[in-house]
Amino acid sequence: MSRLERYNPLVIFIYFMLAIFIVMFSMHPVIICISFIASFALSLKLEGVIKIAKSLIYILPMIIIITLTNPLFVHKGATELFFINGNAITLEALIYGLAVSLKLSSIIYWFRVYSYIMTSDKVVYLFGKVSPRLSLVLSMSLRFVPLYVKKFREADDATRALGGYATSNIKDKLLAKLHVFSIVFSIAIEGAISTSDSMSARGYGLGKRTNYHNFKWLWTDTITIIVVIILGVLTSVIMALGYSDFDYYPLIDSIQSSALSVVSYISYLSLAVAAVAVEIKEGVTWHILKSRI
Amino acid sequence: MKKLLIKIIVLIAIILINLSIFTACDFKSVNDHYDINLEGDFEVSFLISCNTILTTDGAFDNLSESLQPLIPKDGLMFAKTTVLCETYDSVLDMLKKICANQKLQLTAGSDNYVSSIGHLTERLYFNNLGGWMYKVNGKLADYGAADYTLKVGDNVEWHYTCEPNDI
Repeated sequence: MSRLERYNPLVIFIYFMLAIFIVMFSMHPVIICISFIASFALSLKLEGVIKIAKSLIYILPMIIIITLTNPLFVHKGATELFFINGNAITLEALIYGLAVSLKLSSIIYWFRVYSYIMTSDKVVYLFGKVSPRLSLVLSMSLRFVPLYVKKFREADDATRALGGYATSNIKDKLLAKLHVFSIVFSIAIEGAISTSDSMSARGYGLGKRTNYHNFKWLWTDTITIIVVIILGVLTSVIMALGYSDFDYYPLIDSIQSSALSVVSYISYLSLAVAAVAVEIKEGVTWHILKSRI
Repeated sequence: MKKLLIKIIVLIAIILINLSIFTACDFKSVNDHYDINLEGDFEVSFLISCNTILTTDGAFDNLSESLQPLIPKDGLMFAKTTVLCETYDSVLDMLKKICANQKLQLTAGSDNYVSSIGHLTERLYFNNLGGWMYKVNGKLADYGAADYTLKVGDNVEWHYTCEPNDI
């Protein structure tokens, strides 16, 4: 279990929302680079090298395609490389495409880590009081996805064992798949009825619902949430004041080095890297403790 | 065997489609693009002006810092000059030739809409208005620039507009 998972879900939720929303509303290359490196390192630390290497199979082509597509449609920019059909392919458009694709992939990595840490019980804990019905529906439907995937595999295997796919005709194969779908569909409908019967038999809807959760609010949570909010608000306020505005067209701006912009870079850097730092620190502490035994 | 054949056919089709797109594109180096001589049969006078950027309050300060040095101090990107023009040339054809000749940036896509001349793009001004319009013989034209065929002695003026009725 990683250290991040042991924080209160509220802390985790606010941390990720701040880290993601700041990079969503910024086109500044420094912020984007920080966000990409931090989110990549964090998902590498949490999910392991193999899974992240697999994710690169679709992330890298996405980066290349967006980078190459942007100059084909945007002809702004002063540094012309060459012309296609009288329209300029510019260096600025190429770099803008790279920045957008890095931003997009960093947001993908942030959400990967977010969904890795925020399991459905944490979501229900966070939003259960706000809207109990919604969180019930959410947790039930989240449970139904893996359930019906499993049921589909079972029906699929049974059909295969019965020789349902033993034909070279594509149409017959598709019909067999359709049959499997209808099986899973009837299982789902039956399941819904028996679930509702079971719920009413156990007295759902008779009184006020309570829910059980095992999350405590510790003093480390208080400190962490204060630090996270201060860093996030500091960065957002400086961004809103326009100190980290950045123009790509017609010429790429130089990166500002005024005191306030540097403060915003540093505060976002410390916000983004905090999660990785916490994880690494925990690993080192564990290592030291283990070596003392 | 059959599957392999289908795969090979699909691969060849993809390569052919890419090649045909590639050959349909007209690739030019920067030097070739700007290497254009203005030759033709008759004379028209031409002007490209962004004077309203300088005269409208706050318009120039509203531009991004990297754009400001690219705006000419007198507001004239192409001072009034008599140029030679070929028969059946439209205003847009002439604009493209002049911009290439003067090394001015120009964005006019396949829809023939002129969105930017000399890095000055439309909708830069704070009210999201603004853009390039053209006058022929002192009157704002009712046609698209590609639909107006030039006649002998026409006086064409391109203006950047910041607010309604300012040119």
